[in-house]
Amino acid sequence: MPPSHPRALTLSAKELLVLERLVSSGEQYGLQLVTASAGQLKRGTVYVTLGRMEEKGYITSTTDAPPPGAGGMPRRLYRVTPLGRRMLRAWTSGATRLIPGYAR
Amino acid sequence: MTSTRFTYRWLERRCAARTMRYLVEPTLADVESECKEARLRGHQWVSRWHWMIGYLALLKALAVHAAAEANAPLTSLDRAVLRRACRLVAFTTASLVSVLMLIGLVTQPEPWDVTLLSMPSAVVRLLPIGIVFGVLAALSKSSVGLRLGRAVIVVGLLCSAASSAVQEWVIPPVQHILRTGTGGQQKSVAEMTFSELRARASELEREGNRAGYPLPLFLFRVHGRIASGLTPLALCAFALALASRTRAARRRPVWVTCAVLVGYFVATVAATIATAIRFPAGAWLPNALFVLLSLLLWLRVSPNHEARQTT
Repeated sequence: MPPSHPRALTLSAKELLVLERLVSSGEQYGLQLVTASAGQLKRGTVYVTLGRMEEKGYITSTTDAPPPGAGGMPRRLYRVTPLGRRMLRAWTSGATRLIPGYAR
Repeated sequence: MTSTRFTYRWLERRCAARTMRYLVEPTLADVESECKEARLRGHQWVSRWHWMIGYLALLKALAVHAAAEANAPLTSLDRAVLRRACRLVAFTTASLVSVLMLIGLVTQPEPWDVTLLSMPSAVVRLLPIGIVFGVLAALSKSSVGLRLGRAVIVVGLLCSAASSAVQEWVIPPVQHILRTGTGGQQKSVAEMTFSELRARASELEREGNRAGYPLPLFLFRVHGRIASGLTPLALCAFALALASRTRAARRRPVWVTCAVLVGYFVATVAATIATAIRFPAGAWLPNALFVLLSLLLWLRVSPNHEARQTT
């Protein structure tokens, strides 16, 4: 589905955090990202951030089918896209150039 | 049907597909999985806690998403619809005022300048009609999103501000000229500015029954005057809700405009009869009623959703 309005390729602090988590640990659920962020990501806003990042093309998601007979709604697994990786690399190299001792 | 399923179905009929995919589905899936896990461990209260936290997270996510969507810039299509709405509001109001002036000039024995002096009052009274028709006709062929809705409400707000300004600064001097021209003695509510209205209310309060003019009735008129300034905003919100939630309003904007105005007139007369003496703030009831109806309409299923289901 096309986004309702064009998204500029920017990277907020939360988006950077999500990219770093997904690059380091592969596929994750939204709640796993919240738990791993140690309070930096909140339950109430993590899916707003993830949705925005999916629109920008930094991440992609797949539905995790529930076990047969379990019913319920499928959970969504998020993973970083090549564009997301490039964006993270560009941001990190830019930050390193600006602040030589930069390391997250 | 579980509560998450019910919530999903309820929201599916009201939210965009994008909102459902990015926000509602994953949040409700988290609620389900956490509650289920807690129940399997035999922790009923933990399950309830997860349920409550999950729903609060969903509410917060929807609020943040709605705020972000409403603050996003308008698309070119939204801007075109908004321009059309503004043009229609201006054209309808101007046409109705012209027709009214023309009728006045032809039928009234008074000189033409006296008829023309009643133009500001006519604009204030006819602007709500222009707004209802302009919004309904402009939105007849486009879907109403949060961004466009916000922009239309801003138009309604500007019209209300203009209406209040005319009532405060233009109509009082014009009414004064008309009264002195026709030899009238009693200064009417329309002729007073807000500071004069406040002073007159205090005066009536001091004089009590000796004034010969009941204070509640005077206060009702004062409230009515302030409320009429906000009528364009209330009717704009109602027209917006009608255009986004009903098919009839999109197909027949003229008839629906007439029906809305008859409804507003009836509500005003009813509020006057019921509350003028006992409850001066009752002058706000027609506006409050239409704002309430707008909110109820917004809770209805979107016709776009029904169209999607049937196709």
